Amino acid sequence: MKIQDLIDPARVFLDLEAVDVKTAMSEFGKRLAAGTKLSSSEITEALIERERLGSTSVGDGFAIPHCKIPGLGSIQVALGRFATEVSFDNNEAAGVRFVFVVLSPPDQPALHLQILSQIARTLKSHDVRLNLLEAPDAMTAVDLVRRMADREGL
Amino acid sequence: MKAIIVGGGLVGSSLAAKLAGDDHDVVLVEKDRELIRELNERLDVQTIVGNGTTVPVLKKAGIEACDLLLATTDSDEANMVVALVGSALFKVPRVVARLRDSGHEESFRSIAAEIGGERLAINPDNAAVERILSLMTVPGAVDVTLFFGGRLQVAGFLISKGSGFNGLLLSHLKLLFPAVPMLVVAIRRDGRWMVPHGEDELLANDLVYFAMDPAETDNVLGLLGLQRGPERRVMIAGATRIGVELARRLETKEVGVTLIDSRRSACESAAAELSSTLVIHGRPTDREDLVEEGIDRVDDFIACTDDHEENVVACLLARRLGATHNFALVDNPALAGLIGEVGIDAVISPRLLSVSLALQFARKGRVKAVAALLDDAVEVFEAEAGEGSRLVRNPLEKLGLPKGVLVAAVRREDQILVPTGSDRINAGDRVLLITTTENATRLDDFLDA
Repeated sequence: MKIQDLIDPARVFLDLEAVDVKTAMSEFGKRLAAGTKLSSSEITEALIERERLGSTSVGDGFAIPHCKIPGLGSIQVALGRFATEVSFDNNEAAGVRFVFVVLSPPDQPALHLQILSQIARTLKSHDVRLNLLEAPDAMTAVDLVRRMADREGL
Repeated sequence: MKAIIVGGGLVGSSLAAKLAGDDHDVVLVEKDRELIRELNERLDVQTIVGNGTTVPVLKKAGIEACDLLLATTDSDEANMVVALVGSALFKVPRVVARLRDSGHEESFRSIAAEIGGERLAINPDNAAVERILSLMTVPGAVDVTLFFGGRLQVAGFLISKGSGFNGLLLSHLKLLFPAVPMLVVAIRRDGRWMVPHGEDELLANDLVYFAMDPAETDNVLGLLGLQRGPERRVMIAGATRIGVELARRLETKEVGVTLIDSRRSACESAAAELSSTLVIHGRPTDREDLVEEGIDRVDDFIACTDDHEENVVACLLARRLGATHNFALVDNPALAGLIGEVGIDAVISPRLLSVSLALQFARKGRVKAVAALLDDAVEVFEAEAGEGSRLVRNPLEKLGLPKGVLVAAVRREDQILVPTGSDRINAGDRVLLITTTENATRLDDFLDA
């Protein structure tokens, strides 16, 4: 499975407000619980728990929060942009503005890692990062990621 | 330290080069004049032409003042004589004998126990069997070595174009594997070794060595685009000592084994020695023989005849006929350099394994386990940080370690840590060090108390 097929404009949220990792993750808990058997707090908690193991920030204002949650039917990817920087890692000067969230069922560990790897590779490009931060709408953001992923050979 | 090596073959000459690099005063004894001439061109050690099993030749080599004696000829009997003369007559404190026959090994151990001192018998065939078994647990790896009592695995893989590692930055590994030690310790790209750095990107056709928790093997294999099946069918070519011992060990793991050899007598004695293994009289390089024995359903094909070129040919044929993973016994380093390019998963060199074991013994005290990575250009070793060692004084970034040396992991009591530059090593910690071979000796200053 490819990242190109997993991103969907309906799960791209470009106007999020958050003050810290907790409120940032709860924005996704709220939005992603619909369509799953999970509650928003289960999703929020699992994402926060993963951040405790180590920040998922990949630098330049980007992070890839992710977790494996029992009870999830299939892998879910969502994109989000915050109005202001959110601090993910106390050691890092700059905060996070843009996130790729990945939720996976625990019985697909290989796919989980593959999707994370695909996102990390897509975000290597400076241009893609810059354009995502300024994308006017969800479809533009999705197109950008798809194009870059194709170029990366994914 | 004065070291005498008897036997100038691949094992003896590799050891001579390594020990001389370790600042040992090395004398190499070899009876073949032609070989000595060749070695003199290649090695910067003193050489003596003569029969090392005799007292006059050993005396001429300086055995009376010798600290370390290594008997590495191709003959078990000669090695036994050299080692026993050195131990009993000259009281050399530390002696290594390369012995292929387990009976010889046992005799040597018993006599050595009587004499006292530090004695080591190295059995290259057993070392090869162990290596093959560990490679089989990580299909697709070109190399697997365990450190920290089995808690950390260093494994090398070729990155394929479709692999999830192709294009990944090293700094991303922590994102994918946050909870466990997982790092890249060496990369070979376009025939050259690179000391890895966080901003480096892994590329297709790289040979990449990971240090990782063995429990993560399935996840790493998944991302590499490899997998291990539950049930394994194994075919072994060559009813040699290694082939038969491997079959015997696999029988205890209840793996279905077929053993094929072109020599009828070898087949007969193997069949008598083994129980559930199917022993077939046939040629491992014969397409029809392999097909008849169901090569297309084989998970692991291991060529361990005494003819190493035949092993390569047999593996290439087995691969073409559908065997999933192929391993060849190859001692010639030039031939070994071809793996991957020709589609053989891994080569096993009993001789180079002997060199590693002897080296580990020679550096005993501080070094607990050592592995030379492909091409012998990089060494990975586990050492104990002693109380007076220079490793324990300052944060890692202030130690002044030689360039190209990496402290990859630390075992502190029950924990395995991946240190950063600001971390310190404590006395009593075990450390996993990666170094280019040329820098290996410069580490002595850091390890010695």
